[in-house]
Amino acid sequence: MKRGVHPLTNKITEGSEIRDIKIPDKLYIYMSQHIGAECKPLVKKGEKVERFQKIGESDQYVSTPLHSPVDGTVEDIIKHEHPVGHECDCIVIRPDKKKYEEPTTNDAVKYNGKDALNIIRDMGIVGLGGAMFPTHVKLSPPEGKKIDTIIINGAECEPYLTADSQLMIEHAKEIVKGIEIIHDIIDAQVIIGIEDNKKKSIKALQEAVSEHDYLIKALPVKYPQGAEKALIKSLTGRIVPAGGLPMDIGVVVCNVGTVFSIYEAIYKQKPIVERVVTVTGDVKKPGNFRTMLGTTFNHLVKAAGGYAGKPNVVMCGGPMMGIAQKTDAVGLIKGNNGILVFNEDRKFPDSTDCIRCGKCIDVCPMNLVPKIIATYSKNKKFDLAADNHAMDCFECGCCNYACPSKIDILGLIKQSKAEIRRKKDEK
Amino acid sequence: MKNNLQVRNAPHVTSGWTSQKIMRLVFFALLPAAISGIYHFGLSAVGIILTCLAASWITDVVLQKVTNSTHGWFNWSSLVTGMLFALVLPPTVPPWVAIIGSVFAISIGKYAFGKGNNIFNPALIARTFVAVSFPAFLAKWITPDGVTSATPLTLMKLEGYSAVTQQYGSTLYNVLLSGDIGGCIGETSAIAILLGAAILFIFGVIEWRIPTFYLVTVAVFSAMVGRDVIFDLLAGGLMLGAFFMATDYVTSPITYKGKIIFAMGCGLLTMLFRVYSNLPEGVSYAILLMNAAAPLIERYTKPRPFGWKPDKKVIKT
Repeated sequence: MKRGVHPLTNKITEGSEIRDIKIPDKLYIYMSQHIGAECKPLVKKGEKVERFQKIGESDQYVSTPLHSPVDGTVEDIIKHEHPVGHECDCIVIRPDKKKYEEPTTNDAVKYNGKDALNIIRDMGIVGLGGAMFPTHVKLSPPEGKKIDTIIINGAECEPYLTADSQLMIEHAKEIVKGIEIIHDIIDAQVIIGIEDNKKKSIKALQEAVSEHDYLIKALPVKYPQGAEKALIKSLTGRIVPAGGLPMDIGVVVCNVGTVFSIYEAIYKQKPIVERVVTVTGDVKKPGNFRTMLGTTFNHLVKAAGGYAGKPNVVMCGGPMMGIAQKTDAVGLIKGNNGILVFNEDRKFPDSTDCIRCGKCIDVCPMNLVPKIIATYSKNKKFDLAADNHAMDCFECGCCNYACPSKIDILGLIKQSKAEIRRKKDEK
Repeated sequence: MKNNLQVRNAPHVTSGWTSQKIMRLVFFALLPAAISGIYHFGLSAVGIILTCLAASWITDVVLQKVTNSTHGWFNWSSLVTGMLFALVLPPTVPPWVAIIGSVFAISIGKYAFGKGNNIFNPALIARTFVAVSFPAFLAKWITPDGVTSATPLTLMKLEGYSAVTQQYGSTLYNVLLSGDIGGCIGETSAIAILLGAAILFIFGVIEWRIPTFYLVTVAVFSAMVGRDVIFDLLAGGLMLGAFFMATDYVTSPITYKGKIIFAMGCGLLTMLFRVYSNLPEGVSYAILLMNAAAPLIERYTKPRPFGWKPDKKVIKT
């Protein structure tokens, strides 16, 4: 990959073991936890639910069902603030007070590609790297698209976050079994990409893949190394065409977390009801936690020792792409790999005038001229922003990071993108 | 814990660079050239440099009040402009010319266009302004010994290159490097300027394209018309112009290809002025003319984004 930036990696939770936390009093399960059609609730207020019971589903192909993480009662179905989007329907579950056993692993499970795909959809599996694209759609390329490379994304280039790398250390074997399943669905070569600073993860996976011919490649530490397009370029040299998908060039990319979930779905019949999340930044005891979906951010922060000082920004995700939250009462969603807290003293500096230094160009992995798009956006010339490829931006935030004037270039580009999309929809 | 969280766009971390840090580095990178000027031309150079710095700074503070802008009373950018302007003045100019030029540089050169949107390099446009308004003061050259004498390029223009070699003999390159020769305060010592340029490169303040293509174009042109290439590179304002003036962020294109075209244009014009015009030197006019062309160059040199094929015309203007 060309360009990109080198922010301080700040992986303070590196090597901290994944811990289970106390089940919270309430779980907030959002009906929109994937790209595609929103789910409809299958349960009513006051209804009893069982662990792993399907509680939300949509009849659309591009969508995945949702499951209850616990035995409990549906307390209410409300509109609730969503961590990465607008308010949406949300089932509030009050868990029964009890302990849960991990479902038993059945190593003797036999499956074939088609069945596996159905199970993957049924177990609600989506891309856990953040985009939450339904995995069954990704793994069934349309007629005529030949996939010859499966890329497993363990780059984790976002500073602070260690959920993926810790998962690789503790569950390398399971991840490899998950890769086997994908390999059975799509017969193609497998490349695992991991950033060079995660030596333990690389070692763990190397040991686990010894019986396979999967390739593990160490990648230079750089942000956004783990962004799909950048990762494909780094590992295969191929370039995803503008507006296209990896499958157009014969590649499918899966995050290690997703692969682990695929393993659990097939061998344990366990839907995605929990995930590993890094809680870090200005909290007292940062760490990696395995927790149920719908756990509120404040419960997670409490599990991490509570706020260290007065929080200023609470992010869903890492510092480069993380979404600042209005409130810490939002629930954990499938694609949420980290919660980062910054106090006032890490406040982003105020912006000054652009001095046209060109640093945004030097770092843009998409080879855009962010400054020009931002200027057009600021002046509400969205057509010109479109002509200058605003839509090619994948919002990594390198331009803002590098900007010496601390201008919110990405914010302006996002505005253009929203405006361009709106115009397109109107047509 | 509700409602007192700050909602802002990602990213939430930033590099250590700030505009003021960049300007401060440029200011320090100019110091070797300034010190060389002071060493060779003495107190008059000190006076001119301090006058320009003070006048630029005061103008900036006053205009900040007038325009209600908020970047604070201390601003390295105005000091850089003042310093650059001082360095392109002959050591003999009276203080009032320095003051008028500095005020012009900040007020018309920068603020009139809106900061960060000026078309022309403020120091160079101010130099041109005083050169046109008070031509007599801007054409009076002395050697470091205080003797009135033509600069090497003027001598070459008037009497030809043989006169230059006659006067300086084998020490010609040495004096051009050390700065022990007539000329503007900060232009004479190539070594001092290169030292400053090295600082800019090491800290990544300027990138290599503009200076490299500027100097290479000059060298190629010079060789083609049969002039002394090393003399052309070292004499006059070329070194200061290539490293500190043409690389000005605001007035040069920001695209990579644009920078190359811009620099080649600067080199071509510089040599056209030197060889075919009545002027002995053309660096400042060359850069100013290319400044005017910079927005157009930028418009036609936008890069091809990742994932686009070369054969498609991808950038509409």
